Amino acid sequence: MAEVQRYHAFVIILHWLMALCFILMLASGIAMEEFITDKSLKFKMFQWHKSLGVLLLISFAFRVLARFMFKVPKLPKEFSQKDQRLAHFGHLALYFFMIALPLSGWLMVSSSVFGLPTVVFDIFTWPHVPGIAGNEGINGFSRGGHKYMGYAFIAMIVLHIAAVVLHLKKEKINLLKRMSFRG
Amino acid sequence: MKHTLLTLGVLIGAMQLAIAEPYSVDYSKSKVEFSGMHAGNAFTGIFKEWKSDIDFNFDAPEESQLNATFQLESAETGSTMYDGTLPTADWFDVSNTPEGTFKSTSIQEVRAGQYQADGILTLKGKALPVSFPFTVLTAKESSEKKYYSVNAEFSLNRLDYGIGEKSDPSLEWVDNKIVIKLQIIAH
Repeated sequence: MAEVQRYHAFVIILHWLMALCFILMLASGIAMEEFITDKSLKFKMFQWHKSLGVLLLISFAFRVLARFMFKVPKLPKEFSQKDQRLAHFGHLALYFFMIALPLSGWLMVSSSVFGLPTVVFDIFTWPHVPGIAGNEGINGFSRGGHKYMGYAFIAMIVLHIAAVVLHLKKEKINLLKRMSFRG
Repeated sequence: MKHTLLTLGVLIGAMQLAIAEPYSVDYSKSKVEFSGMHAGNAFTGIFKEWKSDIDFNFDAPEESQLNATFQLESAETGSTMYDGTLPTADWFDVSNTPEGTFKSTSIQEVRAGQYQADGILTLKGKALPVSFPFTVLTAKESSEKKYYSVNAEFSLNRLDYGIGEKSDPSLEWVDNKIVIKLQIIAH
């Protein structure tokens, strides 16, 4: 079997699109919770945040599918056992947040007493998780989870980028090649 | 024979007069509207399904009766977001209280064509007194058929009826004041 040097084109495109979307989601999430006071803007942002969340939830399914469908490039031989394990753990954690954040958000809006539907970019209605409307226990739990997992995801993304930078600086290994069309 | 037909004609005419009241509402031309403010933006909706019994006595307005029943599920604002929210438990709670009703307790003539209605408005199982002024205009259609145009506008506080009391008790998102507008055309 021929080894691959980089991820499949589909995965590369999806990775960068999802990266951009998640950065927008994390930024808008913090902005809505901490900084924005204008009600009209805040309401619009909530709806937009929910819409993008649905798209990310769907994207995750494709991402996982692609992981099993296409060959994954092996980690560089220079990687120590410890680095390999760290990389695997790091990627697993990133996958966990990629699914846990949209899911906890979905639980949040589904259990909200407000009962606002999710109309994805004003085009189609995404259903609520059935049977939990107005459930304050689930709402409080998913709300807290969404918030803290959001901050934890930011930390994981920083580590993810830091790993790429450190491997380049210390070992002159350009990992970015694996996830781009250049080089 | 001619005489009998004439008598019959007069009789039918008299019967029509007798059943002229209560009036029949022309639902295609009438409208029950509600409006308010959400997140600093105005919204307007209508109830698509409602029934009204108008038993109006122009000679003795105080003997008149105005009753209406509207299906809360038929509220429509033109926004999928609002229309999806309104039927839920904290708002109209349509699965438990599908109908809203108004029953008049007193109709008074203020001056010609201007009246004051007192009654009980029931929403979400809460019956509260409301009173509002309304006008009645009499006009003729091209077909010489008489019609009545009833107009009223009044406001209520949604929290009085427990509407959105859990979602937004502090009036952060939806204003308390909801304006109800009635435009009724009856024959």
